[in-house]
Amino acid sequence: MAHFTYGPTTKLIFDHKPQLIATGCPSGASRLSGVIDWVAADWKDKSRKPKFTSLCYEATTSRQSEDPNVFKHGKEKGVEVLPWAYYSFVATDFGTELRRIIKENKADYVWLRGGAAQVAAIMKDVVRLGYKDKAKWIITYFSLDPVVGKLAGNDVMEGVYGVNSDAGVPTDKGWGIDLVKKLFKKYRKKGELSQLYITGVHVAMLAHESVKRALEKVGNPKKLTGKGIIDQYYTIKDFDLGGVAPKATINYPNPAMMSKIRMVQWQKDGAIIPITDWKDVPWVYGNPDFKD
Amino acid sequence: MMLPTRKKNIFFIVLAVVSCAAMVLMCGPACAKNVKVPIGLNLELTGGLAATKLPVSYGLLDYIKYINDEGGFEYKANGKAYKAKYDIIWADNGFSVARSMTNVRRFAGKGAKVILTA
Repeated sequence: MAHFTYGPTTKLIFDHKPQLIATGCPSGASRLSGVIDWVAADWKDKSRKPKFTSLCYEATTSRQSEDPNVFKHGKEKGVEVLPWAYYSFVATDFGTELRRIIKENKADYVWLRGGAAQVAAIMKDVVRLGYKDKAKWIITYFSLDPVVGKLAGNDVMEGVYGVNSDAGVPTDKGWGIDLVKKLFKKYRKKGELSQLYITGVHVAMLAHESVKRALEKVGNPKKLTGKGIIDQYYTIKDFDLGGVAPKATINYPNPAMMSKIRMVQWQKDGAIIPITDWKDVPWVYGNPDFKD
Repeated sequence: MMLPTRKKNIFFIVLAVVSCAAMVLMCGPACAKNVKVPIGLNLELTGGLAATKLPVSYGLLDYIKYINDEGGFEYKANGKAYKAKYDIIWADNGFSVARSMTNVRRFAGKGAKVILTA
């Protein structure tokens, strides 16, 4: 079966042949390469290097993001990358980890790896402890949602940065974004359009295109195979998604639907606005030719 | 002038064959073969990451449903025209690997060769 997943590229994908998984975004190590470039450009104090770390929920994907290539890339870019801190997925208090990150390790940039609910709870603790201005807080792709502002308060979230890596945001323009708005209005009827909804459409668009191309090869759907669908996925080049995401070019065996990131920032009214252009990030996991 | 019966029959047979061939050649989407494509949607509507995955799940579901609601999609293969709709099979995985595996087995059992996961 061909599997189109919203999640990131992980190391495990490459252990199975044939490789039948398409991923919504590049690995943590790839995305962090782009984030570290942004940190290096954002840091103005020339008397010392900026310190970068992460607070992650305990998961394989989180552990994988603490990758040697991230530390190496930081060193090359003049960013001191500190070891990650981890929290239990069901944690409701993050005081211990945050005190260690800010008071003891004196981090300047903190990447928060967690879902919407976890990030909202962490940011409430950040404010409770008086740490919001002690560092720049960066959230990951799976917490770029208005629900975080609803849980934590947009006053808490205002100014927080985000790594946008798997689809556009509602303020983007194009026929694809117009279609997403139409779908949301037609099927959801209430609530607020979010980046996460756009991501779901992005995955479905590329899956549908792959299925359609595979059908054009075999005709009868009963002759479809997972490999046939994935083979067609890798024929997608310079494919226009109308702003749902940048144009897609898929290169075997990199399974990621996109290999770009851009930085976004949370606004007072809850909007999430891009503050940089899309930037290519290197393919790390599964790439035999990767060189930083 | 009246044609003999035998010649008349041949004329009508030839006319019918030519008409059918013309219909096939000119056939557009209206006479395309209708087919169903099973697709499994392994959604995350409940569980620890539902605050994140619920909107993603809706995005996946709504796009595929929209294709069907618009009448499906067309494709051509081996000189034939097809009109396809998705046979949507969805299930909640509750942020559980075990439930995801059960879902995928269910999708496979229904003939799905493609799955989308939130």
